[in-house]
Amino acid sequence: MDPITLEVLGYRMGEVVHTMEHLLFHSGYSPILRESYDGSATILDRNGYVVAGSGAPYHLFPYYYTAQYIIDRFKGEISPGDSFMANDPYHSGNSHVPDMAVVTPVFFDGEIIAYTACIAHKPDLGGLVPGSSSAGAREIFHEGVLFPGVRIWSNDGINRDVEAILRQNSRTPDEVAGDVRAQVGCTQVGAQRIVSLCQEYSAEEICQAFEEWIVISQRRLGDELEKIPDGVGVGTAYLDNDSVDLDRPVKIEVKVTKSGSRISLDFSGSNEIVTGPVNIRPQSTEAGATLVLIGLLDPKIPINDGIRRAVEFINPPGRVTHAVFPAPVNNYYPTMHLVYCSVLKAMDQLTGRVVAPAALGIGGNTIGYVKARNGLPAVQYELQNTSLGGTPSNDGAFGAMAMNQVTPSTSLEILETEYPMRVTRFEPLVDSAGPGEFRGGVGYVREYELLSAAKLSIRMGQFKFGGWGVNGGKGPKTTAKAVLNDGSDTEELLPPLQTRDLPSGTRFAIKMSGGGGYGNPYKRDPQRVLLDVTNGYVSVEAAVEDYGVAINRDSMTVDDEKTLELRSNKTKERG
Amino acid sequence: MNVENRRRLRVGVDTGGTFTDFVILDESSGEIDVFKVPSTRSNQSDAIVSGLANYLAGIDELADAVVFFCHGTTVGTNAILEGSGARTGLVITDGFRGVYEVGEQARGQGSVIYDLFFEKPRQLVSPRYTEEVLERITATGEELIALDEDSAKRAIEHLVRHGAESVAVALLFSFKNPQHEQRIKEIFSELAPWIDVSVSSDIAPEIREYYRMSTTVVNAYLNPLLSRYINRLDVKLREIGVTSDQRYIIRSNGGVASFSSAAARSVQTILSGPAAGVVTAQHVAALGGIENLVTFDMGGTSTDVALIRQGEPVRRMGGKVHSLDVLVPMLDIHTVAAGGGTIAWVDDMGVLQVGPRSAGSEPGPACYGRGGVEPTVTDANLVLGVLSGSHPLAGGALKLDLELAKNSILEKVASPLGISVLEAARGIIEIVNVKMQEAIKVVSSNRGYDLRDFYLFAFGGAGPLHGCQIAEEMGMKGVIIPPYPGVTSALGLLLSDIRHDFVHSDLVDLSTLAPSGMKSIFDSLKSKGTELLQSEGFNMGQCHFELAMDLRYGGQGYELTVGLPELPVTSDDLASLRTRFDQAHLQYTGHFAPDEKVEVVNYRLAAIASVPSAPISVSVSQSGMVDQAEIGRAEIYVGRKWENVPVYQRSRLPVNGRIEGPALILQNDSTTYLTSGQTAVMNDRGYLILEMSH
Repeated sequence: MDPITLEVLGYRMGEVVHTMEHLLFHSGYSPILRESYDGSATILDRNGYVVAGSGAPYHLFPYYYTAQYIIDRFKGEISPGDSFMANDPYHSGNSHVPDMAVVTPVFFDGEIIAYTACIAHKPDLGGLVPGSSSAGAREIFHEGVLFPGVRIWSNDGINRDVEAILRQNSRTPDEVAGDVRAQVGCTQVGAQRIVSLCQEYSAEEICQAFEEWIVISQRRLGDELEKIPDGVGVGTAYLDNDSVDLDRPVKIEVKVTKSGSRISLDFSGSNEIVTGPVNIRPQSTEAGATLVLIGLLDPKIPINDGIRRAVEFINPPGRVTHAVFPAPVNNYYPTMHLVYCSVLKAMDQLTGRVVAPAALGIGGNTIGYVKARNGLPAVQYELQNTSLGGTPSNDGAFGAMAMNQVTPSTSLEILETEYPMRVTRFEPLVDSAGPGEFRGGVGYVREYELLSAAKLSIRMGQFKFGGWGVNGGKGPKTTAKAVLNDGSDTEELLPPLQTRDLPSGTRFAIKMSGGGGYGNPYKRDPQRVLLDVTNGYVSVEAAVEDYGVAINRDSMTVDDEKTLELRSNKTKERG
Repeated sequence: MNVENRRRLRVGVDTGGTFTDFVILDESSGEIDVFKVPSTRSNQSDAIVSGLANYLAGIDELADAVVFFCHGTTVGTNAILEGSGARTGLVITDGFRGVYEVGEQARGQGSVIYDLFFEKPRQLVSPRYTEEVLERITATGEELIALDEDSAKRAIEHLVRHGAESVAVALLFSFKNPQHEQRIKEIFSELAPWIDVSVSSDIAPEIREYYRMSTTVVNAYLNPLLSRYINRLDVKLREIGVTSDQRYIIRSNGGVASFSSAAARSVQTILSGPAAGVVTAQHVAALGGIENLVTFDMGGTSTDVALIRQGEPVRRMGGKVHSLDVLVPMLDIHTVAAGGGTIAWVDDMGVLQVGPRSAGSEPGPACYGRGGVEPTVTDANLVLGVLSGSHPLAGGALKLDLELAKNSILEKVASPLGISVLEAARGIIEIVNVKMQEAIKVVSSNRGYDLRDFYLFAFGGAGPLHGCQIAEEMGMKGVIIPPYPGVTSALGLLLSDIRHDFVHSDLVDLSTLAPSGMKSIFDSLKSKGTELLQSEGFNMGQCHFELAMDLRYGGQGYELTVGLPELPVTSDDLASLRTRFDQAHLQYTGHFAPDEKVEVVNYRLAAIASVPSAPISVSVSQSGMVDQAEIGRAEIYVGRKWENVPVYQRSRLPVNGRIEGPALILQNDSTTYLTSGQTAVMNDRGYLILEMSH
């Protein structure tokens, strides 16, 4: 196809996906969807290969596996007007049970020429705790109701039977049913848009463009791989534990072998599957790993099935990175983030393009209330991410996510308006970032005061093992924490994965760590250190200790003489 | 000259990057004059005042003949793009620095979301100019922690010491209870009256703290600059004798505001420049009985598009402008960096790219011969023959050099791609047209509107050159090209009503709402509007009010705005509101829920005063033949071959004169390009109309 038409169609398909995504977020019901944008939209070709994605890009692999399942299961039985719903991490391809996918066929002249799909995280689909994701889960059956891929919509409208099952299995039936309706709506609007493109061009041209985009992305990733030296790198990182055996860390290990335009990622060295819900399915491992390759090599490569084809995975069943039925997988996100960080570490050994990892300890938390402000049971679910690591040219961004790049933090005023709680603090934490010539982005504290009894499920990652620095940069000095009644007599540190019943009046704080530092902190421009101090990101003490910069507290200026002395001493000590 | 014969002039001035455009209406004769002068970058008001003074001298008229003055400015936009706003401080609730510093947390769209080297867009307030005060209002508007005035005073002292010129005050839940914010404003006026204070409960009293805060910060950042600019313009206008009380600035919402109102709410003028063109289009639509238009204003560096549906421009209640989040009503104008001066280049993947960089007016496109070496859209048009060296641009001011255009395309695009100069030029135009099509879609099909129902209203210097082709490719209904494409935007300044928007947030179930409850809320908004309009010198006979409500299904988080008839509200109005909301929701999102509860989130009221407006028609010769308008032939490259096409002089076209494409139609400020199979008809108001059959 001529390159200009191909580009024109590329723009058009991108707009279709963005429209779907916009409609999904803006007509959704649950705050996790409409305020935190925990969802995405995509277009797949007639074979179920992703051709154009949007939203959370780590959904690329879940879409592929989900579409494969639905195409296989409903072969020959798919009609115009149908939409399918799936959330089963084992039969379809979702990362965990709350992520619900909707897949809608696009018919043109009686033939399926594509699929539109979206994924949206549900506030609650049953299971052991509000939010469905419990530290106590020991098998997938504890994690909520499973839909392997069922017809939720047809030409007659919603399938009332499926809707009834969905509603009866949720603590928040109205939000869940409303979200599914928004999902079906957005995929059907997307399908109509593709049909009009087929009328404007032709179905053949559209399908040909699909194929070519996939080939181009595969080739572009291969070309970028060619540019870096061949070799082997190994990245290892640890989760604190699986929430069952609290003393045993869970290892994630990846061996990256790069040769020419090929790359293979071998997870055989990772921990064996564990009892608690920190195992992940291959779709999550593959998604987390490839995101690093894209981000590091060329973020402009369009995310589609070509990326999947360009990378070889060795990920034997039975590892924590390849959960086997019926192992629980609900807390996949921190594990997937560790996969991401391990691949980043391994890639450091291969490429000159290096950045420090984003803050570890990320995840989400869920607070279930028997009665929200509207008198109904409600689930408050929020993602907790903080900051990026330092790069060769700039400090890690504060309040920017590593993997969940499209997810804003939830408005405090929305939280307080909808739930019986109050936010008491949301501010950056001094000295929480990894020092470096370019430091990590700082961490933050966010504290809630419960105004009614509630059930808290904390679903985070590493509170024990923190991040690291690169090229002489340092890791953050503090790890993430979750604290009850911070600073009072009843203060209590929580583990990263736990469900607790809390009385009204309890304060619950998340204290996030910052990103890792890049480069020797003693090389950081003293004026930038001063700026960090006046901005409240670095303390005067840490300026001396971490950066060798002396700051005069009265005048708030850099003491050049002392700084020179500090820095030369420290260089000597090190030497 | 005796007093009875004195003229009454209404003046519209639109400042652009290259030219400052004037449209001057003589109220008594109803005739208009249009002209352009070069813009003055250091202070836009210099070109305005000297241009106006020279014009008045030229027609031998005194400045007090100017009874109305309205201005579209890019001062706000430029200050944001150049980072030249005020040193701005921020006062917030103690413990909540994360709100502004984290901001949206999400990274927008495109490759930036995967980028490990990602940097955040610069924020307008540095954390060290952020001050926390002890206070807290709850979600229901009650005072949880009283305002600690000592902490407020310390905050002010600190900001004064740091030399803040302007301060934004944005406290949690101030939209529910503004008392703490207002008290802090008072303390500022006692302790540091020279500091400009913007308060979030005044500027954007809506839920979602970050967006309210960001809007207030943008206002604070621009206020000193914009008020200095407006004051200087005011003083200089008075100096030359323009002393009318009716001196206005057009705002992003398409309404105009007095100099003092505009200076106090500068966040509302960010889209001042492009707004006027949309106003013109709205009037053209009303006059011609055309309900649905997409405005297409293509200039040198950018193209602005907006949608007019059923005669009304689409508005939005907030969004990103130049990567800043602002929550103020504005016309839904989408800008894409694609204009005549946009640069074409080949990226390191060997793919032809057009933009976003522009050659601007200096050095300008290669063909201007002012030292530009990079090929632009204008160069490509010249190579393809749709622009011509012998038919200069901008009324004869610019001569175009074909060889320079060819050389730049050869060197920067054709050689790297291994294709001919002609094919490269064709590719450049195709890609820039696609970008503009995508911009059009952002305001149309992406919002669920079908372009087959819409005309393209093509203006700006380059709009008529690209518009006909784009409209055809997008399957639009037709194209409308106004008499003076180059000054169509400025014309809107003589058409705009005076408009003030007010909002009241109060979350309630629509079904529990009684007409009387709604009435009291709208009445209070209305009295605010009345007061403001009266202070600007309008009598109530000139004024009317537009009402709307933001609605959503219970449990949703985003609202659709649905209009209401004038007060008083009846229970029938409420029932029809519900139905119209369901239908609007279905059209926009693909789903609806007629059985579910609907919530009211905001009440909106626009207070509008009508002003006498300029004619938007020109007289056209009633007789004469189209053939007599043909002034020559041109060779243009189309569909991979050269074609010989007729060239017409627009001013010689008679009423109902039909021109068959391919053809070029020339006028001083623009060239219209009709492609093969298209037919343009000159209507009796001086508009070229293309009807397309699909």
